Amino acid sequence: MRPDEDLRLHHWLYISRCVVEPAWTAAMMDTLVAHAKGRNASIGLTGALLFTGTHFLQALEGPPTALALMRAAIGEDRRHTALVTLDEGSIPERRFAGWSLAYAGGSIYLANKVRGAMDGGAPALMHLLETFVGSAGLQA
Amino acid sequence: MGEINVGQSTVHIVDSDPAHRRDLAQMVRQLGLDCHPFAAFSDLMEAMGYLPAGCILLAWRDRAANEAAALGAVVRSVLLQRPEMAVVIMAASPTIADVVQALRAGAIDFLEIPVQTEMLRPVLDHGFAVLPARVARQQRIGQASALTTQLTPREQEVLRGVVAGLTNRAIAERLRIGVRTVEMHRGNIMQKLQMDNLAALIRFAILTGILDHGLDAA
Repeated sequence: MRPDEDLRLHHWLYISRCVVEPAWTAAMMDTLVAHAKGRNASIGLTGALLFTGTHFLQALEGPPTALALMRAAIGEDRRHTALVTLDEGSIPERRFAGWSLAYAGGSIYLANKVRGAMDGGAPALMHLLETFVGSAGLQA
Repeated sequence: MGEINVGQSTVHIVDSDPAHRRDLAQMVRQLGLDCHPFAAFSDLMEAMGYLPAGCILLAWRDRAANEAAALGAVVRSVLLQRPEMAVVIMAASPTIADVVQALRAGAIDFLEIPVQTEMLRPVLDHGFAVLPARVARQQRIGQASALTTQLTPREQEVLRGVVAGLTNRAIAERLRIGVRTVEMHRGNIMQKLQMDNLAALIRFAILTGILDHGLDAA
């Protein structure tokens, strides 16, 4: 193991489609956010989640090992399907100070933006998440 | 707070551009909905007290002079008076900051100007889908607030303690009264608020915003 192993940062940005019945999504989000907040903090992951009522958009960043484990867990989560990775790899520094829910609601405008940005729109979606959580100026 | 006028198919339009306002009104009527057009935001705010609950399509046209933050303030000023209204902000080539500000302030959706019917229809569907629950929530808050005014100041203090999760003993120490007195106040609170269990009381407290006032050092 290299001495700087734990200092490396990886990130992952993905979109997926929710398969939970609309009537249950509010309760699902409460559970999901409560659970994710504590768990992500405990393993050093930061990022933001956005839910449009039909799609999830999430950015996660942190130590490669922790992120890989989380990716595997998210990949097996049965609350969503059609997961598409929009961006991934190593990053020089974190973009998010913590993990939080950026938005959860039924905005048609946002849903179209998220769907429309799937091809090559990763920077725009990252900017959207950062603006929501107010971390756009985190990296000077 | 009185009864909310539930005209759940009314769309209030605010747009200083006469041509776009007229086009919007026509689209709204073609969708079979009632339409109240306003030329200025101040006209809407003046009429706000008696407008039927519905969707508000609000054109944001003076971005050059204002930061996106001002957009959030506009949305909040509407919702402060009529929290049940489904507010949709419209803007020409909006920035992400505009959209985020509007949604964070409580707008339910966003539209790009010029608005096309095929974009307007799903957004109004969304608005009228969430409206009944918003109206019902406001009516519950109105009723709950009316009940709260029946509590004495001391009962309100005890209620805040209960909601903050304090034991009767802790509340008694904090208010420098006897534990028995706290128990008596709790009984009276439940009776006045027409509640028979603690869970209902907590829901009530969340609804009326009693929790927001907090309890110093609770």
